[in-house]
Amino acid sequence: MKRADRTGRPTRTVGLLICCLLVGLGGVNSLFAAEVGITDTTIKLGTYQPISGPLAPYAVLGRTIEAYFKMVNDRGGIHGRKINLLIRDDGYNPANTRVVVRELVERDKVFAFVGGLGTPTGLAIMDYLNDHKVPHVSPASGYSGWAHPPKRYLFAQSTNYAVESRLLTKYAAEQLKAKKIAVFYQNDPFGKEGLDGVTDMAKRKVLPLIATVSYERTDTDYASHAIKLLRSGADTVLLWSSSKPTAALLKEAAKIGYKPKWLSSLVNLDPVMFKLAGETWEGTIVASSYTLYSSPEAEPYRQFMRKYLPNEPVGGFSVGGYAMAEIMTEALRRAGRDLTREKLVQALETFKDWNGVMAYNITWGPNRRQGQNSIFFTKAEKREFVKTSDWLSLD
Amino acid sequence: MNVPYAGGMDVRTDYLQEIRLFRSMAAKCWFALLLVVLLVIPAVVEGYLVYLLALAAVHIIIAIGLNLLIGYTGQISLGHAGFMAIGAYASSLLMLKLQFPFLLAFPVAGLIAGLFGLLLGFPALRLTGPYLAIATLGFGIAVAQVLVKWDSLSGGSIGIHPPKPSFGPFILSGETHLYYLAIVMMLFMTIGAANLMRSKIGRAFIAIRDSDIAATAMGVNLTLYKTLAFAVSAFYAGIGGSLFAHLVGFISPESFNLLVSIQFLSMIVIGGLASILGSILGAILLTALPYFLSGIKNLPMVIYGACLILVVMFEPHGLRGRWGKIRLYWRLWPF
Amino acid sequence: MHISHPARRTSDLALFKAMLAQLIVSGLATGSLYALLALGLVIVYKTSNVLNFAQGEMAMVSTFVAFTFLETLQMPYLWAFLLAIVASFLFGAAIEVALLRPATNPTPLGLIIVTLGVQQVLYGAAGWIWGYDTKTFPSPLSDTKIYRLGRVVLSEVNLWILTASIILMVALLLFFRYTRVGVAMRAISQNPTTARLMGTRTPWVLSLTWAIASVLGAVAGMLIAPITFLDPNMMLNPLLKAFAAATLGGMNSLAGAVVGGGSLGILENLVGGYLTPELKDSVAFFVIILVLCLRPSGLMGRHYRRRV
Repeated sequence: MKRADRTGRPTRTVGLLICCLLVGLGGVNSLFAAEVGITDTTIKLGTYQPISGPLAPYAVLGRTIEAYFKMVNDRGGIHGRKINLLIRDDGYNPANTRVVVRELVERDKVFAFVGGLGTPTGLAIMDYLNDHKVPHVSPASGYSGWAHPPKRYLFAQSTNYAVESRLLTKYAAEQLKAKKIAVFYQNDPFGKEGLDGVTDMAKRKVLPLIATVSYERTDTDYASHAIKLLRSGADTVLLWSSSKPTAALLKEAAKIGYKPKWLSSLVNLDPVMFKLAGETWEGTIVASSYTLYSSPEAEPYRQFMRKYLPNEPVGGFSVGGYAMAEIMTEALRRAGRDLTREKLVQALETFKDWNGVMAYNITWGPNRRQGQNSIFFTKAEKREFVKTSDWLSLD
Repeated sequence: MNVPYAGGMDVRTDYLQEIRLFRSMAAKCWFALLLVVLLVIPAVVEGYLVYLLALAAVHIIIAIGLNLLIGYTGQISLGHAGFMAIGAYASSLLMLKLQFPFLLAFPVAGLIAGLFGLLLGFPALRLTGPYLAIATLGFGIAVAQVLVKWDSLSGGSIGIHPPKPSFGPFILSGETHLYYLAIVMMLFMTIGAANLMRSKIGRAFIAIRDSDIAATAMGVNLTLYKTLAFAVSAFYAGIGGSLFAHLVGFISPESFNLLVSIQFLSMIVIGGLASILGSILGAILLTALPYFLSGIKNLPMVIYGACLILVVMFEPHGLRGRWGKIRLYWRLWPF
Repeated sequence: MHISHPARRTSDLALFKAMLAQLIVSGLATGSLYALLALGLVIVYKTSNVLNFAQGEMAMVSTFVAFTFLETLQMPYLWAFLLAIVASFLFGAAIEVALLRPATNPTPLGLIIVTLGVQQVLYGAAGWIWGYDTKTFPSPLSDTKIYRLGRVVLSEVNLWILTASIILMVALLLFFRYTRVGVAMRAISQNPTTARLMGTRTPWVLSLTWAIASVLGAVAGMLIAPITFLDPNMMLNPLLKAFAAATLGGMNSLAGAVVGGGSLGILENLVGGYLTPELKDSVAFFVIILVLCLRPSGLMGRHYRRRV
């Protein structure tokens, strides 16, 4: 009897569990003398990107950062060190971000993060990185909560949605002479921040906001959205929407003969819009927070794209990636040869009205963590974006 | 006397043997050893592995709950992320909005999810197979959409930060604390499930799976036990969801999409249906797998999908069945 | 103000009517795509008792194949269209032969899981091969060129979607009712064992069903791609809607799938237009839950009693 008992199911359960757990015991804490992620010849950086899943097209941003560092390394690196960027896939799922970021910090021991993509993903690890004193430069999202309140190790870069939406509304009132505006927005943190900014401006009597129409990322048919906007009678529609819904909406609106002035958030400053929306995209006003990708000043960027990313399109998310990488490179250069996380933070705090090739007017300071507060406007004309205003900011 | 057959199962000779939780001294020793290992792990491994193990424990709880419903009772659910979301949001919101202490919010969250399971169980009485699959699929997506739309309560698509759980003045902050909490709950819920399946209720579940009409004829109250299976399963998902929320520290409706439901389904299919050990193995494997594969672009989805197909085609009993066969092989070796 | 009120009212009413008609027409166009996908789900369900979660991704892959013919090989549209249909026909049959048929001990759950696996593999593979970025699907049909029927406008693409779907649906209904293969399919769906005993070549018929379902998806994909654009995600949501449509019409009724698809499309648009676009996406899931609670066999489905 006793012998037969030895084969009980819980025995197997327990034995197998132990095996599984022991496999997990791979890593052991180690002590280190130099700063984390730094050796004599390398700097280890990390980032999280949606390489798989519905938002995979955005991951070109991470690939651009990687390619930029490759260019830096080809030119001899920074203070004799090469940059090694570890990209991890989180599929835009905050629970995954949490794991991959901890893995990067605790197992791979990265020195700092650059350009982690997304608002919900970034929110899931914001406090963790700050508590562990790991600098994160330029999270790739215009969420206003990164810099407000300021966190010592988090450096938000591009103009946030809250500022951008106020500038867009102001532009609609002052330059486009809009009388009644409507907002078309994605029902998520990005769209909501845009909507909040416009609502706030409307309350301050800048412009009457007469309709708000939201959509879900999963919608396929935009006819009812277009009809709703048409019925509102708005003469200008502000767009806080990603590329596909924007194109679909513009086409539907054209079909039913609704022709307001379209004014779009900077996410649509992407040449792909000319393909997706075709003729209907002509005349749309689009904001930009980076140097215009097709302008003469952006020539180094275009050269870089030809050489390092020949298969990726020029414009769009690669512009942001380029700007983030050049900011990080400049900061590492300023931090000097004796690199530590504290020195990187101090170096970032010395940025004052700094312009890169694509990054513009970046200022950080001891208690200031929002790098940029300005945008300019472009107009879609003959399959090109043409600059129509100077850099503008809220006073 | 102990003649094993193909599945690696063993024949039990009396009823006491059948319902005993630990079947030998050795089992108890192994269990004690496991406890010790689980106890010392946070002291030896790095934080992210502790976190990953805690996440695995949460997944184990939910997978066991799902297996009670699918593997043991023969129902199906493609909407377990919905129950998980209900648990996660209930526990976070009870603490945030009504200042419930964690000790109260945590079980209440499980009960609320269980209540929803009970409600879903009623239409499930009339539905079988594919219809039930579609109903639960719709339920899972509907929960996520309600959370997006009802933003005054749930924070909408922006998501919320669940508060840190605390026991009186003692705040569970680091991953080590949460790890112990998750592990304790996991052990508790596993033993609970094992006990449940040894009881009259468990036998009724299995009878329903094998033939609901025959079960009714034998006097099993179909209404009671089917809805009970849904409620228990949803309770497990709710408890798991609550732990998940406090562990990850951030939840949004996006965290509970259809893919999550499919992931739990995959765990129990790959691990082995109608097996608690299978649920555990499947949950551990699929928690760890993405992090081994995260370097390989695009391939995780393909590998994941191929695993599902291959398991159903060639290994219908999952990892647990394979484990049984391996054991059998060594027990009979060299014959 | 007092004087202008009645006038405003009449114009409002006219606008209301025009808007209603417009919403219904564009709802029908979207709905016919749901209907095509739902038809694919229903014929597979009827014959092999499988919920095909891969239906959407199969359609997506077929559309990408058509895209490759058009863009990479620079074929004329009609050729690309026909070749893509042939390819999807073979593809559908191949999936049945290679993955569904060998499944040992096929429980409904096991088969659902196989199709979920196929869905994941196809999704990952499509992203790997063609990339995740949004592509425009070249089409000879314009979606800005419009036809007017009174105050209702219909783009060329929408017109073709409606025409092609209606032709395909009618053809399929006739096929199932009057051809020998169609009768065999119905026989299998009612009683596979008896059908086999009566001399039906069951495996062959099953492969054919999958092939037809795949073609339906391919047509839906190629018709909708000029509007929704082309990327691996394009079918994730339409498939869920197709499940709702099939449930609404009845999982085992072909006509039901058509009716269910059309009415879901219209219902969505009415909710979007008159209530709020925010709820538009949720309509399908409330429909699922409502139908399954009140009338699980759907509007036109038949309920067979099961015996021990």
